[in-house]
Amino acid sequence: MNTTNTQGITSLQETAVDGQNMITPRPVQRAERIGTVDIIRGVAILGILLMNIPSFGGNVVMFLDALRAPHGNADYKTIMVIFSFFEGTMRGLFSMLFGAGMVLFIMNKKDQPGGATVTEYYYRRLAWLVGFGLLHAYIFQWTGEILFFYGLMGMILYPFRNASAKWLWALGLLTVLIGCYKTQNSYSDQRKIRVEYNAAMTAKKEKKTLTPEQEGAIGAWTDFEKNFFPDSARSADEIRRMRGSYADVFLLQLPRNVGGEVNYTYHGLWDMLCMMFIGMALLKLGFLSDKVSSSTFRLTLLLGYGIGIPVGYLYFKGFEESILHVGSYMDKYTVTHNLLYDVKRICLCLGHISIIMLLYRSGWLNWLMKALGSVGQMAFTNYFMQSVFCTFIFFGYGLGYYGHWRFHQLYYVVLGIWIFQLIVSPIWLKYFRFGPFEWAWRSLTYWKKQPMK
Amino acid sequence: MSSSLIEAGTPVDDKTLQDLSPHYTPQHSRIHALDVIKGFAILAGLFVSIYTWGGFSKGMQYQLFQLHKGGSFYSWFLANVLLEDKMRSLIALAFGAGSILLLVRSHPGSRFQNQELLVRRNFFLLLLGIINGIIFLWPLDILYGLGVTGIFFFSFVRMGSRGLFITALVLMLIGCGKIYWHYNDDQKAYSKFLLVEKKEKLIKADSAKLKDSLKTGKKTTDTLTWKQKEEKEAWEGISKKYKWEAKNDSGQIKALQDGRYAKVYENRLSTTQQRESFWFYQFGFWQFASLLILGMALFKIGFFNGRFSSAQYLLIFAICLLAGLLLGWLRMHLLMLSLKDYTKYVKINHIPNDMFRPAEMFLLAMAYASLLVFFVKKAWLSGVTGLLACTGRMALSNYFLQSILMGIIFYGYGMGYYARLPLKLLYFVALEVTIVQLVFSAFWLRYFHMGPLEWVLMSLSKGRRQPFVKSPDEPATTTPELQTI
Repeated sequence: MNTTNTQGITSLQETAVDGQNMITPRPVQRAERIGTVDIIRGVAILGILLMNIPSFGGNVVMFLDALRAPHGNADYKTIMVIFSFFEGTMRGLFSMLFGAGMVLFIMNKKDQPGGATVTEYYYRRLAWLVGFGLLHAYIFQWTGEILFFYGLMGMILYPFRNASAKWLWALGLLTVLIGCYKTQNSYSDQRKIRVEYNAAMTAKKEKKTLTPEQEGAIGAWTDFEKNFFPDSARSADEIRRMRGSYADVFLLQLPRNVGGEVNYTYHGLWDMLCMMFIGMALLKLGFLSDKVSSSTFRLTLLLGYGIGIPVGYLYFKGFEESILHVGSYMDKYTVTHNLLYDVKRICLCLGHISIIMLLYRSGWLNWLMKALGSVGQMAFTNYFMQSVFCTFIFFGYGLGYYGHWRFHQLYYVVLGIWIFQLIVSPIWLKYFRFGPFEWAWRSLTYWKKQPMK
Repeated sequence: MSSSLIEAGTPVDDKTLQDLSPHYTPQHSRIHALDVIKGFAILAGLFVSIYTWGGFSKGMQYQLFQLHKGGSFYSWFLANVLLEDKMRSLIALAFGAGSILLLVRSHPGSRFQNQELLVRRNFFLLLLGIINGIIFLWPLDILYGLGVTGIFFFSFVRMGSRGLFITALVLMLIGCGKIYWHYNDDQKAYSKFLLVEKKEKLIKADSAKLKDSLKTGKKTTDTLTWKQKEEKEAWEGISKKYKWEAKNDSGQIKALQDGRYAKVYENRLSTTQQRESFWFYQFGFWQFASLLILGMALFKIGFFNGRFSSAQYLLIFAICLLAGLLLGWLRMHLLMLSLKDYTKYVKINHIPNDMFRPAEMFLLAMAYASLLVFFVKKAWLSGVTGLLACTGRMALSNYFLQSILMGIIFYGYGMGYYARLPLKLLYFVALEVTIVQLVFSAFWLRYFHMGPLEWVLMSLSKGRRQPFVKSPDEPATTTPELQTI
């Protein structure tokens, strides 16, 4: 296998890889891990809960209520901050680290003559991840599950592992463009319904008899618009079922899980791939492995947040308008605000990484960095744990608080889980080498029980 | 021979080679039987895929089925039982076996180690599948499915043949299970519908009573709730599944006969995407995977190398064919019941008509593979098998050539024969194409090492331009490995 061609990885291998032990493929030892990658992953895994909690805690009505609330209201403020500053970025960070992690997994190992190769381990590892994803979605009942997709996306990344940072950036931007094209395309399709509806309504006002096509256009738009004004009977029914037994929840979530896995894989893969490619590029540039000067980080922080925050706010306002007044929004804009999504996301992610790295270097908040590093090292376990906690709190087979709380109140739960994970992860890693899910994943990948201590 | 897998283009070391495929000897770079199987499947497959190309829709097929007599009916019935889904199964089988071959043989012209080469090949195949589906407008494309399952399962190559057989069986059973669960949803929808219907009767009775005397103190709801209405409509939608009227197809026929590519594209796109996403997730993945793994298992026991005696091959053929045909007959029998009255069917039957389709595919693919290997073993048939092998060596190019020809013949931007030809003529077109491809492939391979798309695919996968044109001083045999089995 080609060793590396970029400076980032070379220096990374010198520090991280112990030549003697690297002959056969085997799990990464603790000493080989790159601390900063774990810290950023820790931030991402905690941050992802910010985006997930609304789907655990209530249905779309709760969400819309928060969006419709007066602007001084705590619910509105929460949703504004979450959507301008965090939406997409935590998943983005996680995708970046996943891409980087895949490169590290391959770089840390060499083939052993006669045995299974790194390539095989790589693909086995991802096949198991897909399996864990199915478990997470269907058995743990978390519809916002991402492991299934990451397993599949990882399979696409493999041939690009030796690509240079420049190429990876190019691939990242190409996938962004494809994603933007698909976004705009589906917006244009929806907008066509609106335009036809408008024409039919004008004809109606002029007291012309409507053709069947025009009648159809009016019907199509009315149906489409219904999605933005869910009726209370349906919402109440949904909440009742989510507070029901395990089987009730399962049957409600089943079609959502199926639809989600199919559509997000087939149509939404660009969203994940772009961040993974960029993450691989950043690793090769030494951005994730603490190999870049502080002034560079300060510059990216300034640029990232400087562009990301205003664009993020603009995106949020557009998003808000498109949800609350979908008709007039479509009359007004031929191009959707969703195109800003990737711009804001990439900028904010770079900002997030820079600020984390600068904090890490300052030595300030050292205890927090250590705790975050532990959380990141057990990211897989912590991700599952969040689902276990949240389904227990909100779903009917646990405490059943689904749809019970207001939007901003959900974030107290987030805070509670954060504190718990920040405390428990370092303690666990004091006694054990891996988190329990990491251990299971490794053991399955290598098809051999791994040492836990 | 190199001692590790990591060098580009080299096969695995001797020991691994032996482990992976005990009946393989390095001197074959191809296995003749696999080429024959691919050639046969690509050609025979067209006789059923031409229904979809030529506009002989499922609805029309069901109508013909219910007619239950006449030459058209018998030909359709036979093609449905013997060929439909079985030819893509056969391709998947050969594809799985070919995967091991690709891993164990040496590739002097490759920049990548064999496993990476395989992964790259499968990615490009997946892309070609998407191009075939979306650009060449073939909604039932199989390259996409082969590419995805090929990437997903290649690391199973280390498994022993017994493990592989079991895996293939389990995947096949999951495939059956998925079809069953799908049917189970229909049953549930029906039982909900019955409850709603009962409720509706109650409401009617109540309102009648209400008219009779306003004094009845009973509280009644006079309309169905939104949920009950939805449940009612859900079943009413499902019950029409097997009902067909000519107007159902008219929109599609109009679009596909339209002279503009854009119109045809628009009509086919949703079908193709549906197939590549939902259908593949629910059903296709399991079917492709089970056959692919079965192919690996058969390769490992030396099945394609002619390890068994002729009598053994014939025995396998007979048993699998018989079992497969029984299941096929059962499917057709149940399909007839479904067509007569689906409501009644759902009431009485516990299994859907196509529940054992994956098993049928599994068995018949085995049967055909056995028979073809048997033919390959017979020297007096070498003319026929040699010709089929040429088509098989260029299977990918031939598959695309079919898409191009069919597009020109049937879609509106070409000659626009979509839904205009009777069944007999559809078969005639398929026969013509078969002859063209048989002759063309043999002719082509005289002058070139491989088919044009094979060359593109291998050059892309190996990261280097592959030799393409045969030099004149090379022997002009069509299949150099004709005698090796």
